[in-house]
Amino acid sequence: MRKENHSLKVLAVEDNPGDYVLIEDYISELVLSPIIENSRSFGETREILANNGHFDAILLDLSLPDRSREELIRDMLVLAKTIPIIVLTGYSDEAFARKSLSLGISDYLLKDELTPAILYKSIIYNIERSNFLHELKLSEQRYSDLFHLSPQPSWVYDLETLGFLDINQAAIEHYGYSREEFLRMTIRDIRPASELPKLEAALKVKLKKPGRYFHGEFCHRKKNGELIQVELHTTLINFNGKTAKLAISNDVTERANHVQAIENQNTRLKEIAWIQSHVVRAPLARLMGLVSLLKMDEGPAAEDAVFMLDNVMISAQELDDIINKIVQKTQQVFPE
Amino acid sequence: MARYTLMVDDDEILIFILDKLINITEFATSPLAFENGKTALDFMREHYTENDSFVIFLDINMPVMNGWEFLDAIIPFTKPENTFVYILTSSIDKSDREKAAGYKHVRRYLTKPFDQEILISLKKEIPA
Repeated sequence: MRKENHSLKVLAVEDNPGDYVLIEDYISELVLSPIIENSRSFGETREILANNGHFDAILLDLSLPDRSREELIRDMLVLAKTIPIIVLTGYSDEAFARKSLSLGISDYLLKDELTPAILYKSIIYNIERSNFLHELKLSEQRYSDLFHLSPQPSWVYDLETLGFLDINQAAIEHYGYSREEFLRMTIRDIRPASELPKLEAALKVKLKKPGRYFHGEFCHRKKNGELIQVELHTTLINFNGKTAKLAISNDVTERANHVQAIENQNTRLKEIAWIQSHVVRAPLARLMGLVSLLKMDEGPAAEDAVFMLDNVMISAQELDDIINKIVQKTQQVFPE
Repeated sequence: MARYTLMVDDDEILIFILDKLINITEFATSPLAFENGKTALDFMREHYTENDSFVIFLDINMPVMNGWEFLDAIIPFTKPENTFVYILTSSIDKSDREKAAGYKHVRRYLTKPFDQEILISLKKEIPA
């Protein structure tokens, strides 16, 4: 058999010198210059792992002088972190060894059936598997981070009960409920009563295909009672085995308010334009007409002159009132 | 054959000014004043004949019956050949001016204030 040529660093936790020699021989048979360290107790293992950095795999005997069986496995898993642990055991302990798989060890091998090939294959296989699981975990973490660190308020809710299953930080900050409060609520609770029929209608639409759906604009209510306009996007997802929906909420209240403010401003500006062309012109036309009559060569009769001058004043005052009204309206258009 | 001059405006000062100008320029001798479209319409219904001519200075914004309503009401029983309407308004709204152009009875659209030069030029375009 051809010897593998990549370096392999293994920690053999084994208090029986005979068993250790066997392990060393078997590994050396198939691996070119492996690095194998021996530890004879749990305490020694803790020290080696603390000082000696990384191993590709740990081979673990189930009975050590200072710790054994389940307690040993639990403590070893904590020490080993991501390093795969392969349990080596005798016939007598096979049932327990099998059970230890569920505790988190990577594999178990029976000492009585051990051959170089079996040991080698188990080590290589479990190193690969461990790397893969680690990658998977990182990938899950990355997706989880995308959700939890997203600046967009987002949550996951149970499609059946409508209860919140997960909530990101942005949602907690934006809506004002704590994570615990959210987890006790359903998506009905973030809506004013008037919005519930709209929600029921939206829920009746059955989504078959996964993908991102735009749900339109809804009105939501924050914990402090404030109503906000939001655009919702949802995606059908599997959340810990449940059919769930991921919802992303985009608060467009300010945009809506802004549009409303501009519309109000336009209305007031139109009113001002109307005043300019109709109301202001009336006393102004009167004033100009009276003055041009007063200026004429013939001159007005004495009793007419008094009447005309009185009306020049009345029109001037009327004009003054109108200008004050325009100033008031202008202040409404551009409030401080 | 007689010629009637009607001044239709709810603003008594503008009626006063127009009356003075009409007298000074000798545009007409005894112009008649009406405070809104309704009273002017009543007069037209009573006095309109094809043998006489009618010069009407018409304001647009008036209570009871405005200038447009008055125009619509006289169209069925008057002819543009002997009924000369001069819109006389303080409005400088473009839409009012465009609307006025749609009426055959309307000779001109005049914005206030009104002066004697305009009256003198109108005098020339109205058949005696």
